[in-house]
Amino acid sequence: MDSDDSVTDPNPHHPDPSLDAEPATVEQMGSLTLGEAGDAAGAERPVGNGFLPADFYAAAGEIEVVEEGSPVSGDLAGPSSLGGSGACRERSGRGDALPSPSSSGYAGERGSSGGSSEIEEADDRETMLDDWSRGKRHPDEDDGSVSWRKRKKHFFILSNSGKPIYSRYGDEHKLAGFSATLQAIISFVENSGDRLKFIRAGKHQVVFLVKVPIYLVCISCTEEPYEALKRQLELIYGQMLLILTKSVNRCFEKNPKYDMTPLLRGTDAVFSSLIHAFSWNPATFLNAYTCLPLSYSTRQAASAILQDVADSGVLFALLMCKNKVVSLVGTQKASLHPDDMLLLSNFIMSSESFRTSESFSPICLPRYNPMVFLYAYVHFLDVDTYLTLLTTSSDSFYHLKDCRIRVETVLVKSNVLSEVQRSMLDGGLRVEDLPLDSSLRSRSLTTPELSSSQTGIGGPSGLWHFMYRSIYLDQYVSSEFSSPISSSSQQKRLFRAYQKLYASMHDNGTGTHKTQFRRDEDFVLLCWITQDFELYAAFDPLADKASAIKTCNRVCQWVRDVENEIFLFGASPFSW
Amino acid sequence: MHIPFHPLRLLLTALDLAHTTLCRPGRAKPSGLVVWDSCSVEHGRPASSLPQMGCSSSLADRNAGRLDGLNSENSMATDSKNIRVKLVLLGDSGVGKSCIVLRFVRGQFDPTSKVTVGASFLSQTLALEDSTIVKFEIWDTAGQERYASLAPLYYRGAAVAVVVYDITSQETFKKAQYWVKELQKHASPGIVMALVGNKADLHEKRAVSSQDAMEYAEKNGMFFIETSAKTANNINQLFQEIAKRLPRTSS
Repeated sequence: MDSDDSVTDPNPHHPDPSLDAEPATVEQMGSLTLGEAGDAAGAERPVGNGFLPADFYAAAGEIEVVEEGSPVSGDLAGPSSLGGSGACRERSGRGDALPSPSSSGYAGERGSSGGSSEIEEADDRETMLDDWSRGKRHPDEDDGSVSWRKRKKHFFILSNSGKPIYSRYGDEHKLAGFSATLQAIISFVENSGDRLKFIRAGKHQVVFLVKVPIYLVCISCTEEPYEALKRQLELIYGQMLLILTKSVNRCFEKNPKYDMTPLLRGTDAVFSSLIHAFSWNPATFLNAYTCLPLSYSTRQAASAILQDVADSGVLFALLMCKNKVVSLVGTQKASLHPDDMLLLSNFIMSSESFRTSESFSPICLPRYNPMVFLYAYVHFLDVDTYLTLLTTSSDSFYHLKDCRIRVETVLVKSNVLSEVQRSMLDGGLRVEDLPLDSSLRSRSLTTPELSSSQTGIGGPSGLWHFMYRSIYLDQYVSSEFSSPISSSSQQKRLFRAYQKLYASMHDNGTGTHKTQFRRDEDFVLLCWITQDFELYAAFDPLADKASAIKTCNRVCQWVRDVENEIFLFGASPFSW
Repeated sequence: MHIPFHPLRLLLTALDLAHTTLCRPGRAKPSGLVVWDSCSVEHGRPASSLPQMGCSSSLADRNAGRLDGLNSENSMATDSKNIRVKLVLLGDSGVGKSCIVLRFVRGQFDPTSKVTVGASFLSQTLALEDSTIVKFEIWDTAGQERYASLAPLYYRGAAVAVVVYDITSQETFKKAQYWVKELQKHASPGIVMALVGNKADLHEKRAVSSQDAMEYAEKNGMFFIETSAKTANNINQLFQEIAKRLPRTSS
């Protein structure tokens, strides 16, 4: 089996502990809800054409449907409380149009998949082969394909009339019946004035996100926490807005049956690469961005020239190397949200045409303003390094082009570009380089004074990896993966463990925790949250608790010692 | 395939609402055809030293100067033999607009399809037999439907529009006709339009006859040519024919 499954959960059939604590109504609706919902959809399409994953049916008896409490009590998530009572009532008319439940369809489907007792999950490891970069994977599949049903993690975007908009796997148009099923489940609950958060069925979790008129659904058996999957759906929605803005909603006002798939044509690679990032990029759950390590003066030089062009009417000037920020400057008080940076850099890096020549494209920053397009001038200075200049003015291409020429000239002359390339090769912080004791602090990244005597077993006290997030800066730094976390499956496992740790530390129900020490067969995980930072560290499973805590202190000290090189100061209004 | 009209207009409305600069009246709109008097400044060498025929890609000049911006030098005597032209490529997605441009500008052909986002900007100079030098500033637009409403951003002020279809797809020919109509309505009057049937190397799969396309082009006062970005067939001819049809400022 594959890394997706290997995160050990002592209680795999149990929802995340954080959910138990939630005051929301937890109803054991059993197969009743789904039976009816399934039938409703079944009547709209040939029987047997709208499977949920096999496990879903096999475990239908023990399905837990978690709904929110009364919509009025609302959740604290803010924008997502769109699905309030007003919206529900508005749509109840459409609910009447649903075919009335009958007993035939669902039972038939259930039987058809009941025979397979142990379903082996399809291997997702192909993502490691950069398959995602080529766009849609397995476009020939549909919900009738065995391979499709074995995929470990599905993402769907659909309209609230049940029209498919995006599917991670398979052709959207062939999944019309399946989409209708999802829509029926969501609207069934909505029609009773409630809102569906997730359904757990055996190993599978089905997570819903309602952004009327758009529905987003994730079906996953990766055992990621509900909060993590919900955030992934939020990011997918954000990526869609980055491409189209929220004004697409008006298409549905005119025509509820509007087919949106043509509007997203050619963007499969963008979504695939974002979904791939969910299993390697900590920015997808840390709400922070990361910087390329550079000497303070080098970053200053880059910032100075960016500031120079920003003063000439550029809203944001952003110099990045892959997913890492070299420098970022905004006019006046405008600040760029880490999510917008994540989505923007994902969009640019996954769209090959940006590398071919300079481009001028409309893009929307959903956290900045989801309603309007900005214009992005994008130019790759080398294979990995790109300058993005954002403006509100549609006719400033030639101005931005001149700005880019100025920036590029300065970056080349002041050797910033070569420093950037060198830093890419050198990599970031390594646990082996953690200074042994505070009197021997390493003042610079480039001259590590001490290394673990036995390389290949991680850092001191069995430290394998860490991530440090500065709360005021909205930035994080993550150590390089090194042995024994060297294979991609081990990295993915650690990533998922961090994700869980993060979710359990930021449990809204019980408030944010301060520290956590957790030992399982893979790792010792230690998390420490203060007003200023969050530290996540992974150790050898046999690591001693006291020395692990001591090591964490040293990591924090180390990060503070080199903060001028690993963080960008001045980009956020909070940073001075 | 016909474009559903209002959804796209709605997207455009979002733009208009956001940025009233889109058609700011107070500002002189850039004219598509500019007498290109600063050429020798930009390239740091006299225009006469440019190659007589063929191409000198502006991309090669990327680091060769222009530090002081475009307007830093006093204008030299207007040389009507140097013309700067804004050219826009329009057409359905996948017809090969980017391939045509990359073949013309860099002499390359990449069979893997790379979806254009928004629009790419490239430029290329072409020396004509009468020693006129034409600098094409090319906007290679994305063919996706979501960008259709944004096309005016790119064709506004263009002196040349190249409308491309794929000779193996009737649908893309229909889309080309849509673009021709749109340009006739909204583009600068006097815009030079070319109709280009690309992928001519795939003649065994041809779905649009040359005859039909030529008749349509003639009816609409367009110049018609079939090209193959893959084999480079007719690519330079396309741009040379366009250059010949440009209105010249009388000297």
